[in-house]
Amino acid sequence: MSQLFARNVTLFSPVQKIGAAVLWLIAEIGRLALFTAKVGRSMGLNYRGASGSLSSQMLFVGVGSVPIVLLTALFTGGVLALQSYHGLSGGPLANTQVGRLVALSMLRELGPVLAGLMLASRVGAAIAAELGTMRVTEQIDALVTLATNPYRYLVLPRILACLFMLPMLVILANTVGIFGGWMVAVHSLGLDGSLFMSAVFSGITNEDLIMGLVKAATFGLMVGLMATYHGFHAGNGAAGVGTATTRAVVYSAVAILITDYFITAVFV
Amino acid sequence: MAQAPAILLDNLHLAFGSKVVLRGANLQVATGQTQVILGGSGSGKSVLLRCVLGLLQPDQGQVTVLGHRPTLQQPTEHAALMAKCGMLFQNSALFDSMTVWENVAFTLIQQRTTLAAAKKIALEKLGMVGLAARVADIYPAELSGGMKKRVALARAICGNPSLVLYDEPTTGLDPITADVINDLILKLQKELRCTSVVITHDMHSAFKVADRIAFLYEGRFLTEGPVATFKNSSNPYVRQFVEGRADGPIALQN
Repeated sequence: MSQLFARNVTLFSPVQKIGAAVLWLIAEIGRLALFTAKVGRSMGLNYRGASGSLSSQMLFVGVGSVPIVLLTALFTGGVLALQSYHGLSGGPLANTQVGRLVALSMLRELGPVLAGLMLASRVGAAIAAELGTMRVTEQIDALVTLATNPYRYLVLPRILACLFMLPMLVILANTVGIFGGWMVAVHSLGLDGSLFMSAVFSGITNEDLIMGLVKAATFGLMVGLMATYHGFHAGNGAAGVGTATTRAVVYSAVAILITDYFITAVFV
Repeated sequence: MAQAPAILLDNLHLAFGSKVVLRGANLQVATGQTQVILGGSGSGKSVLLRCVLGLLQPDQGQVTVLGHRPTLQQPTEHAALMAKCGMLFQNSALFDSMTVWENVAFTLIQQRTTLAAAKKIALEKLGMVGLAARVADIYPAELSGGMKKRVALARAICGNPSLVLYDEPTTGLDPITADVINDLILKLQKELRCTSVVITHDMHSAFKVADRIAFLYEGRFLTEGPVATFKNSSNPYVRQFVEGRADGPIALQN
């Protein structure tokens, strides 16, 4: 008891706190890597339920997220048009530049990032809560005792669904975002619609689209990994599921924003 | 030496941080026996069972189950071992997204037995635990606690296991349902000719189903032997537990 007490006292030292946080972060990255390796190793297995699960997860992750992602994209495109018009002081350049700015910002940045963040909050939370509940009610242990690999049966379909479906969602988001920008440009800012569209198509290249889709796939993988990892390792009881869900969403969002910087830096 | 023991626990130690749970647990469970492991709350019973299943690795010591080391580090070997084991979880742990028969036939369905054949086997197993075919198509949430236990038991025995583990099978059930479960344990033992390990703190259940009883206290076994020997044991810890007294050498944890 006295030993425990002494350890608690020394933990108040700020240097030790920083050290403990760094150690925790390194350990957490290690655990995530091990988790990923276990998922990867399970790929060779095949269960009837797992393949059915992949299609139903793709439906949930992809089709189910369409409304919220499109709504977000539509208004983002509109805001981009307003902001770039304002940035160009509404001058003569506006007709030829607003479309270009909207399209570039959507394709390279806002399409993947916002769709990724929406995926994290809608799908990441749901996956973490579902797997967390299965963990605390011993359903994951039950899977193991029924000779079924939970990484293959539960985790892999969910990660793959996020990985495949986010790029699809981003393509839709880009299209609708540019449409939102066009609506605002033409009907609110009084710009020429055909000039706007020609600015869109002359402004973007294949590289912009590819960069956006690489981001989307990476963010999808991040969300899938973070959500399944935290759900799979949920602590005890209802509080454990709650913590796992919060962590899944927060860490997904943080991971999206950090990797976004690095992918952009590589491509630019 | 006739046959290798179904389960061999050799000097198991396990701690979670500063909380020591197992302190040198040794146990042999002979093939075909019903071994009851008795112990109070927090004595390490469930942790011990998780070690047997390979869900936890002991810090020290060895677990041998049906001649294999259960470890999740080798998922393929572990799955092969699990195919020979059945586990009844304390809270049943049924898959709530599946119907009763899909739960029972889970492994068969995953291994691509035709659905009709899988359902037929599931109904047969439900019959073995005394459940009518009409429960097959409903979801676990609609069942009572006792029925969930029986469905979970049907699922555990679906692969005709040679080892069945029960984690507190009668806890939380009314006395009559609890006795139905006791009878089922005895009946399945006869029909499957399997080795059974029952973890419980229910003395009535223990005396009814056991061939041998081991008493787990603070992470190690104090006594192990046939039921009659256990009943007449003079060990003060065992006496206190059997008689269910608050005063004695076993202090309540606080």
